[in-house]
Amino acid sequence: MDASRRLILSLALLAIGWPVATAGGQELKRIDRTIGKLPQLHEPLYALAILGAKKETRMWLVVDKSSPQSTQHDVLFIDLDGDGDLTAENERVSHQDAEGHFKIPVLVDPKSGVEHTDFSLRLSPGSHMLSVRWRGGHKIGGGYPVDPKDGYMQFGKSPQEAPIVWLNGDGPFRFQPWYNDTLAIGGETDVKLFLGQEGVGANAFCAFQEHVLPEDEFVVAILIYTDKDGKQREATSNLDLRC
Amino acid sequence: MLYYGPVRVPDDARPGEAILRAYLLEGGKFESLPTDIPVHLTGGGDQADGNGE
Repeated sequence: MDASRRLILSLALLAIGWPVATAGGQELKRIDRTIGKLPQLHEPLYALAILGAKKETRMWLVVDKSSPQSTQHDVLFIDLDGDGDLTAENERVSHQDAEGHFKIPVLVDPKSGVEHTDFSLRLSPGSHMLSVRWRGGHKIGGGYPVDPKDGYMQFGKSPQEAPIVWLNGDGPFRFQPWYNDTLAIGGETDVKLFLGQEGVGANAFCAFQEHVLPEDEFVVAILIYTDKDGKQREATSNLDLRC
Repeated sequence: MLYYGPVRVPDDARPGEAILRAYLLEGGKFESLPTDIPVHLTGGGDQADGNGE
């Protein structure tokens, strides 16, 4: 389904008064992408992490080659204090483990003071995935596509092209489908959903990376469709499985 | 990481676009915003696929 069809459907639902979570992070799209001060860079790639439910903290991440001769992006600049200046000594991370992860044991949100742990950024071909244990608890991260044939999140070649990932493990949460957007009439089709937060840019959904719902809680899915007489109908399903 | 289950599409559905609204029940561990996911319904006999004209 193309973007224009999605927009028409969303507008139609809004018009009849249903609360609709914005797809694509409309608020995030308006966030200022200015970076105050950067170190000397060679071949940078950019992403912007927004922290917390109030979206108060902007934390730029810039991966770069430590020298023009480097064969890989082996250094991470991260705006730990959220001031837009990435030149501080402690904001340059060069250590990677054997699997190519950049790691920061404790990440403190400079606006809220909340501590998150086990920040990780893994760069692999076609995939730049970050994660953190929110408040030291559940692991969240991304970015995830709807369909992996579209690839996973990749950092942008400029701040304007940077994906925006919303790290918010406090909720409220949204959903993103995984794979299937086609359902057979008269049949049953498995629908799989991520639970997390929408981002901006291709494949920027930030999801829980472990199961967080209690065993007796599940996702409810209401199919809103038009019947053969042109009347709007609803059919409810419980998505009570997990994988 | 994924929550899933079978979604049944009633026999009387018209082929074309529809919405799958996902949410968590109130009073649970987490709060959600109902999220509308566009889906496409196929099959269903001789109805035209698309806008149902």
